[in-house]
Amino acid sequence: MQASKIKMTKRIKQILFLLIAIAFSARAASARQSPSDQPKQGAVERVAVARGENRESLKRYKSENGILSAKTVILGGEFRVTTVIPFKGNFAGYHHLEIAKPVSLVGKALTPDEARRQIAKFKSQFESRRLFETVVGIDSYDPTTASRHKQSSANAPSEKSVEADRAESPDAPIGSFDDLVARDKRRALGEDAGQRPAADKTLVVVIEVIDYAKGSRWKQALPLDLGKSILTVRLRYYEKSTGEEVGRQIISGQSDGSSLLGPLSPRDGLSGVADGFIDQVTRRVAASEK
Amino acid sequence: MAKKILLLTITLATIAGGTGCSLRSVATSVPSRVFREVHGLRVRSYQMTPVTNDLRQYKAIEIHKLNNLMIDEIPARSVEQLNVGIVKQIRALNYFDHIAVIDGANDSQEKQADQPGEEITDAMLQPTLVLEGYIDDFTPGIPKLRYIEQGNNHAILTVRIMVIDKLTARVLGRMNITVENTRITSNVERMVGKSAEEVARYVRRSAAHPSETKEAYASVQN
Repeated sequence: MQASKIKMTKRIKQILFLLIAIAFSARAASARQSPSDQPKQGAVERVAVARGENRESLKRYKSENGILSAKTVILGGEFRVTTVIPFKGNFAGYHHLEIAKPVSLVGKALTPDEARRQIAKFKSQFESRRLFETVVGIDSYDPTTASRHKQSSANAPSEKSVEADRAESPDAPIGSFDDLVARDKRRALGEDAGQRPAADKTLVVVIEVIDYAKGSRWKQALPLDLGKSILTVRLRYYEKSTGEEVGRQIISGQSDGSSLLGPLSPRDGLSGVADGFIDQVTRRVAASEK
Repeated sequence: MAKKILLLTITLATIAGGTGCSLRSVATSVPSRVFREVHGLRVRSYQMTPVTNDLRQYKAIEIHKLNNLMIDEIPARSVEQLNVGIVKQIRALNYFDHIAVIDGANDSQEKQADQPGEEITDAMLQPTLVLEGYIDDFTPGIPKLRYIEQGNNHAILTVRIMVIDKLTARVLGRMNITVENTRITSNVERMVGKSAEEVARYVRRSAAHPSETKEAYASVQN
């Protein structure tokens, strides 16, 4: 009898230990994602991490359902995506990602520290997914500057292109056999350049925070539907060199303590937005890769 | 014997846990559901540029249609309801002597004004406020999910409002207003109506009592 008691006590201890270990590992996972331990930087954060991309796993990629899924039922942190301008172009050509510092449209409610936390979270999640060669946090991005730069370079043709245009003109002299061969080569190259996808493009994401509430876990514990953590952002996607907007989405994440873990869940509004953001870009890249 | 006791304990614990959980969910979901029905149409507003000037001199206002950044993701009916609602609510304030409504598509032409032709020139000479803004976010939500209290199911409308001095084009105040509807019994129309009310309230507060808006930059009913 005594032996069985000891055995039972041991087993209970084992179960308790297992539960504590699970709780700690969940906490540690959330802490790993939390950028509070990241070194504080100045206004301009420009740290490129070149880990190299690996898009092999994208073939088996299954998109996430942010509104209702097992993950959101257990952990909370659900998200909603509203696509305002659908993605344009081939995303497989983007190998670099630049994420601009979130612009606050909620006044001082979004503190600089919180903005840094957001960008660090997006960056770390993209890096762990290895979708892009480099993921960089930038201070800001102005698409009008890029488009103006492109226009000015297009308006000022090079000496070579002027010469080529003159040679292609119907009034141009027929020329020798060598001239004809050179002209054919030039045409073939020109067609190639027109058809070839830009191999090393950079995708820039501009983030505008349009709704933010930090939330309170104490209030979430009350059965009064209070203390929600909310983050809603508008994401504008740009092709860096041209300044063309290739997509626009609203992503909203929330955590209200109604999940199975309740207020103890490590997820918040930002977790939902990060999941939605990464999922949307991954989906598009995966579709383009296929 | 020990095995039997262990099995019994586990069975009892499972039953107790299960019953406890279901009782807990019933006990906790009723108050939150009732509370949500009462308090489910919530407003979060964020002061982006606080009003620091005394705006009591402005007795004329030009209301521009809101710039729709959601394009086709918000029904035209809701956009119309919002724009008309704002005008109606500002008229109901009985604060401004002259109210002009400007069509966003054609800013140079006034669609309608509260005063006949000759008075318009007088109105243009006096200090005039311009009310402009953007529709930043909209979703009708998923009412079915609200019944089972699961998922990201609420309806939401976010507008950004600017109060500008017409003569100098200086922005006098900017506010972000989000109305969220988590009620099961309510609908999108109610939410849009509430947004219009909130915009009018902000205009009234800014125009008549500038000191009030200085106090708090963010008001979150959460």
